[in-house]
Amino acid sequence: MSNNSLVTLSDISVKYQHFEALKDISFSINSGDFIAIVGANGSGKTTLIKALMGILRVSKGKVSYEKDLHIGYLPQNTAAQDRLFPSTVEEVVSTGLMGKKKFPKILNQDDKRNIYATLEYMKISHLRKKRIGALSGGQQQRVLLARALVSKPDILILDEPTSALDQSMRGYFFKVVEELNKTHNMTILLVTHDIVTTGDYINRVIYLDQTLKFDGTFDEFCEDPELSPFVHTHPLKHREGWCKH
Amino acid sequence: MSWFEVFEAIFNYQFMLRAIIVGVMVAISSSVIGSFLVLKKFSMIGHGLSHVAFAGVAIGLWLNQTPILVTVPIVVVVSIFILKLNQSVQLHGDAAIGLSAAFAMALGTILASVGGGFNVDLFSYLFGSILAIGQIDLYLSIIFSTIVLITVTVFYHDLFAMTYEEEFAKVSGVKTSHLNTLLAVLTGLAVVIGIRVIGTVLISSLIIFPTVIAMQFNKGFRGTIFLAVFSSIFTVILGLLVSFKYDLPSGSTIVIVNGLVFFTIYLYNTIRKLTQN
Repeated sequence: MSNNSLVTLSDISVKYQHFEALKDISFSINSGDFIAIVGANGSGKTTLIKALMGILRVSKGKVSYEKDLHIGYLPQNTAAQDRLFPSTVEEVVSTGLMGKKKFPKILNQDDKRNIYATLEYMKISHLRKKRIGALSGGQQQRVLLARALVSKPDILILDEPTSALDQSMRGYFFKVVEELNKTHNMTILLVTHDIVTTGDYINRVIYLDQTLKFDGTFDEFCEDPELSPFVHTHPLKHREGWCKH
Repeated sequence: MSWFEVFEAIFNYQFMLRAIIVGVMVAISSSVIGSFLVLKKFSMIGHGLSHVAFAGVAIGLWLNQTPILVTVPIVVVVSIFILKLNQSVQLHGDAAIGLSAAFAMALGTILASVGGGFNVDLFSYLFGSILAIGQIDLYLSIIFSTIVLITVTVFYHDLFAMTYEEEFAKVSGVKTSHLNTLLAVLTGLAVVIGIRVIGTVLISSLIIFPTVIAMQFNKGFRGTIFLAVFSSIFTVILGLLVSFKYDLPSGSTIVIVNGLVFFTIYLYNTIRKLTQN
C-alpha cells in the first residue's frame, strides 16, 4: 500500500454461487480522493463496495485497509423506507457512533453534543425528536448522511445516494458532499448513475463491467475510445456537463 | 366469584402469587426481546422456538426430568442452529424456522405418543396452567428474565443499531454476528420462561403483540420498548385474573386480552385519522 492509500484492492473476485459478479479488480483509494464508480446495471458497482467494506466475502484476492480506518456508509436501500419503524432522528443518528465506542457502550454528554452538531451541520436539528418514518425522502437522506458522518469517518461510501431525490435536493446533497471532500479532506467513494451532476466534483472515475474497464480522470473517461458505447448511449448524455466530444 | 375475591386470591393462594410473579417476568422478557425481533422482521423465530420448546418438554417428561431444565439447552442450541441456517445462502429464514418447528413438533408428538402416561401434563405445557407453576418455575423465570434484562441493557445500543440496519451496523464496526447469536439465545430463554404461563403453542404471541401494540403510539425506539413492557405486564396480569375468575386456560386468555387491546387501539387510531382528514 502506498503512503496515502486508505484502501487497496488486490486482484479481488466476488462470486454469488456460480456467478462471478466481479473479476480480478485492483485499485487503491487515496486520501482526499472523490471517486465515482459507474457502470451499467448489474456491472458489479454495489458488489464492489460491499466487498470493499467486508459485507461480502471476496472469493479471491485481498482488501487491505489503513490501520484504524473508519468507514461512513450511506446504503442504497435503507430501513428508513420502513415508515413504521419506531425510531427518532436522534436515535438513528446515534447508531453511527456505536462502531467506534468501547464496551460498555453508553451515550455520554460528548456523544450527545456530537450528534446535535452533526444534525446542525445537516440543517435538521429541529427534526431530532421526529420519527424518521414521518419525514420526506430528502429529509430522511439527510438523517442517514448525518448517521454516516457522526463518527467523523476517514472515508465516506455513498451508494446511489440521490436516486430517490428531486433535482434541487440532488444539487444540495452534492454541495454538502463536495464541502466534506474539499474543506474537511474526507475521501469520498460514490456509486452513481448520475455522473453528469458529479462530473464537476470528482477527481477519478472507475468504470466497471464485472472487470475494471477504466480508472482515471473524468476528462480521460470521456476521451477513452473503448468507453464510447457507454458514453454515447448514456441516458443523460444530452445534459450540460456531459462528455462534450 | 366476585372481582374482590379474585384480588384476595392473589394474597391468599400461593399458586396465584407465583403465577402473577412468573407472568410479570414472562411479560417483561418476552416484550423486550420481541421489540428487537419484530422490528428485525424475525419474530417468527419465537413461533418456531415455541414448537422446539414443546419437543423439549416432551423429552423432559419422557426422561422423567424437570421439563424446563431440559428445554433450555435444546431451545438455545436450536435457536443458534436456525440463525446459522438463516445466515447461510442455501436457505431462507422462514424456511429454516418452518422446518425446525415441524421437525420438533413431530418429535414431541411421537414422544408423547410413546410415553402415553404424561399426556395430561403435556397439555398444561401446551396452553399454560397457573395451577401447574411450581417453585422451580418461579426461580427459573426470575433468573432467566434477569439475564435477559441485564444483557439487553448492556448491549442495548448495539442491538438497536443492528435492528435498525444490520448492514450499516456491520460496516461501522458493530459485531453483528455475535449479537445475532446473543439475540437468538435470549429469544430461546424468553420462550422457555413463558411456557408455564402461556404455553408452548401461544408464547410467540407475547413476543409479537406487545411491540405491535406499542407501535400504535408512534414513539421512538426506547419509548416503544417501554410501552411494550407496560402493555405486556398489563395484559398478562389482566389475562391471569380473568382466567382465574372464569376458570379458563391462562395462555389463551392472555392472548385474547392482547388481541382485544390491539384491536381497540388500532380502531381508535383509524377512526381518529378518518375524522381528522
